[in-house]
Amino acid sequence: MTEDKRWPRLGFYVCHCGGNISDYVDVVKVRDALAEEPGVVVARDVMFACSDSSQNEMIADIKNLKLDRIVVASCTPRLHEITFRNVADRGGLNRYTYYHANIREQTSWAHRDDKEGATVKAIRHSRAAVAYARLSEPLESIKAPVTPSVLVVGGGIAGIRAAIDLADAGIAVHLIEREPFLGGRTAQLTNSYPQDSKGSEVAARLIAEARKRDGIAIYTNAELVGLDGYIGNFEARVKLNPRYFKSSQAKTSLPEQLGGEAPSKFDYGLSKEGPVLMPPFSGAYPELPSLNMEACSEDCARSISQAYGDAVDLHQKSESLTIRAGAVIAAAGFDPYEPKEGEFGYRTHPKVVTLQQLHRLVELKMLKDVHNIAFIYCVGSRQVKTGDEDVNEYCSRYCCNAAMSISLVLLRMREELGGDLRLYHLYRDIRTYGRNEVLYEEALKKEVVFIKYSEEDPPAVSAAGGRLTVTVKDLLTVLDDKLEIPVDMVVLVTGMVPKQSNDALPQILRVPKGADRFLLEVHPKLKPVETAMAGVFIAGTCQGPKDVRETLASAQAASSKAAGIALMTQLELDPFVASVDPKMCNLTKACAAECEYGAIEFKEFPGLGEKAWVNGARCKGCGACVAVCPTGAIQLKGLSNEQLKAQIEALGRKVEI
Amino acid sequence: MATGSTPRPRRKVTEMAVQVDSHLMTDLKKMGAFDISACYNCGNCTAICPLSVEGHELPRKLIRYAILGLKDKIVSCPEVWLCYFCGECSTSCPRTADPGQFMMSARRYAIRRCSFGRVADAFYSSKLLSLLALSVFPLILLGIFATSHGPIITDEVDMWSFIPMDLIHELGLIVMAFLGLSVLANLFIMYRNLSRAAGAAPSAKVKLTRRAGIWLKALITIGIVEVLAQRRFTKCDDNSSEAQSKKGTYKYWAHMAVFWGFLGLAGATLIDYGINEYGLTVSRDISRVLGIVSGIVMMIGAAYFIYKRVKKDEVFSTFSHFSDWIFLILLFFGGLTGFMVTSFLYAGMAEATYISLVIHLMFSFDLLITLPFTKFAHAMYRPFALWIVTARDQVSAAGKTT
Repeated sequence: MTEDKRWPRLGFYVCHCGGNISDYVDVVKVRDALAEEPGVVVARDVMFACSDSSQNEMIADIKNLKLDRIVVASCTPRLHEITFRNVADRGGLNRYTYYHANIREQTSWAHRDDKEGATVKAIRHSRAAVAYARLSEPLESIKAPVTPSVLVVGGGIAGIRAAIDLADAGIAVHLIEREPFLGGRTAQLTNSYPQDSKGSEVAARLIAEARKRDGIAIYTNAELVGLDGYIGNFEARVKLNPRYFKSSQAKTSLPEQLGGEAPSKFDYGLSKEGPVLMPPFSGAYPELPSLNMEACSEDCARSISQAYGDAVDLHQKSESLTIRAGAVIAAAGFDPYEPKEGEFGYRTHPKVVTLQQLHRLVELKMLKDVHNIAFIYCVGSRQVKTGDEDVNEYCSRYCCNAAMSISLVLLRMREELGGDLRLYHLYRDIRTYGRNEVLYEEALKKEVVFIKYSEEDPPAVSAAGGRLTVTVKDLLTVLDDKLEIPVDMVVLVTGMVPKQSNDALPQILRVPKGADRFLLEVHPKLKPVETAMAGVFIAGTCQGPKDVRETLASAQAASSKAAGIALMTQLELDPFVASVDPKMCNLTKACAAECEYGAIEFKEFPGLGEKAWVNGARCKGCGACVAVCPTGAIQLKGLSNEQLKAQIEALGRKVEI
Repeated sequence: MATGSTPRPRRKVTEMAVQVDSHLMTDLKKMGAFDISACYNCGNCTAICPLSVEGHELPRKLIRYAILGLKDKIVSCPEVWLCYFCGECSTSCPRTADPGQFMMSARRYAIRRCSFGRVADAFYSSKLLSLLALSVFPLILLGIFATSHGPIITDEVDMWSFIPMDLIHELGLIVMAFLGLSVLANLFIMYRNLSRAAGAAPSAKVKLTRRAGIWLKALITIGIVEVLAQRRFTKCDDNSSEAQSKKGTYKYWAHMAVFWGFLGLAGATLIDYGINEYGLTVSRDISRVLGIVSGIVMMIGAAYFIYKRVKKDEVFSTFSHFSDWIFLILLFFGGLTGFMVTSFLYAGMAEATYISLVIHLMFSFDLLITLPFTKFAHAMYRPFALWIVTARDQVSAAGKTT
């Protein structure tokens, strides 16, 4: 209230917290000490500051004593900051002129053995709070308009599920998928636990639901290349790659040489694909083929032209699209861990496959005459860090369950596979959490053999003499020798890794990566789908390994958070953000280089020229820009250097009790 | 490392690996280990087993061998024979995987695998084959008696006219020779298997004379303590409740009855044989009384087990493999028919005596000649295994102290 030119009138309240504070801190001494602070008009000790009567007393004080600041010394602001801000509001003050001192968690509870010291500390903290409040200025929350739509990045089950929920809430959804078809990795599974549903059926059902809703715009072959804007007002730049097909009506059949020799992505290389990609499963969307022009020679283009005529347009070009959205959901998925060449015989022996490949083998009915199968668990997961190289230290959590589940499928197919079937599961630990324990139970009862290996002495796969053999030291058996298991197939139970083609995504979304290189949430427990970038939420496996159920649950969580933004007419944000005094700005742009959130922009100021400007909706109030500004032109609102200095000075002053 | 009769490619001895056989569990399940795949390796069974000791843990170790398909390990570890099936592991198994019954199945499996020429397979693989194998010798016997019996004297009972003593004598010699050779052959196979498991000589540091002393002492100790008194059987006691413990005691005494009854019958036969062949000057009544008393004792023991197996009220008796029945039936009827022979003899019923004599000879010769291949084989394998284990452990302990 600098324009008033009068000393602020402060009310100070110290809380007993029913003994939680007053048993260790002499609150009367605190009250008396603070009463002498300049500007403090009234100092009171109260039994429970948060009680209605105390709140009303504060409001009465504000009115009767014409207070313009209040300070409460009580518990952590996490508990009651909003309570007392509301008190300030109701008393007719600016809500940001309230300030707190935490003398419970940081004082009385922490220093039960030193009551005198606790009292001194409480006085120091309270003085600092008063010093801060003296310099506080009325602030206005930041208001931003909201675009009432949501962009969903990724057309796997998480993205589709989120899109459906948002559409049901009446919100326009833009669903973009980089691949030519929706469905994601789930559609590639021959079986998903629990309840044994085919992955493609799960995907197809979600796709059908999504298609029923008008509010969902689906873009395939669509890649997110940039994201501007901020919460409530994002602008996504999307590159639409050409599909070339306008309809699927072929006039003649395709020449055979177009059958293709490239390893199929959908079948994890177990089948070949040509340049024309057909919908890979029943219920896939769009029902249009897509042409992979890179794999299509001139001859190929000519034959396709002849075969499809008007149904194709080989002159399609990629387009750029700008999508405006109030919130963004990243549901960009994962990659299965790709074992290195030779890792457990992978790619050196054709009968060594990954868990994901096994799903395709079953689905394509390519399994025949297999009798003994070894599953090696934790391939690419729970790796032990030895050097600087990134390793996957995490457990991929779905793989144990998936290995059990597909094993039960194989056991049911026993006759088809040649009758005699024995499955060896070589594991480090079995983590069939929750209901999935039933799968483990069933596998045990169906004579799946479980062998525990140590990560220090992993199994070895050899194909000497043409016979695939797994050699392993079993920790569960009193045995000096290693076991030698002759097998027909080895399945590497591979986990999930961050999707390689998503490498640019953290940069684009301005969302940090966690220790495991997946997209990182703000807090794993308290804010599990929110990211450091306000308005950007994460769903599904781009956040870390999840199974189908967990993916869908996180998609619904993310969609409700996104809906909460898209349905607002206006966003109100805390005002504790950086702001620039344009007169002091030298335009070094050091602040912009430092800002992780892209909150600093440059604007023309009348009479001053181009100066830095903070987009309050984007700013997180981290203060990184304040630290690098050579002129001090950029300051945090509600956390100015003056306030900090005053607090430090107050903390250091001698206390006599 | 390959053993047994399944031909396998020769392996280098230096390679420390043991091959897994995916069919072992199927075999074991056929012989009673129905629930064992529910095992999740907790080890409660071994912790609770009153006979499991350090160095000779059971049954979990064997269960793992079975689940993994380590055929050779199962037959080459003496622990199969260290179990007396009190059933406490089965009652306390959190997975109701019935480890006790598994141990029985492993024993059945070991009998099959330790018999020469896999003869025991005939008594374990199918009921029909088993009956056929059992009737081979009695039918031969019947043929011999039919063609070469003496005059049937009906006005007085004269067994040795009906079936000449010499014939019995010669048949007895043939049976005993076959039995002896089979026992030796089977024990040799077992010894070879157990040696393979033990690896190198336990301790070369112990002098040969000392080792011989240890082996001899162990033989005597095992013979007295474990064969005659069967002390381990008393330790094998499901102590989970007083009632269980009591049942265990009954089982011990029933087993002792069968054992001592059989021993008594053998003794009576020997005495009788001595009187007949070598003019032993003792009263024939001694062998008769001993025979009658022993026969009754053995029949009581066998009857107890038959009753238990019919009633299925104890862990050990809930499942009976047909090989269990065959053994008990041979024992019981061997005793019963012998008893009948004596009774008819004293009653002066000539024809009944002759008929029951033929039947008795068929049963008792069959019991003896099939001994190394049926459940009866435990009478030779168990003491032998105990002897080897005890002696080896003592030699190795002696090696450590010197």
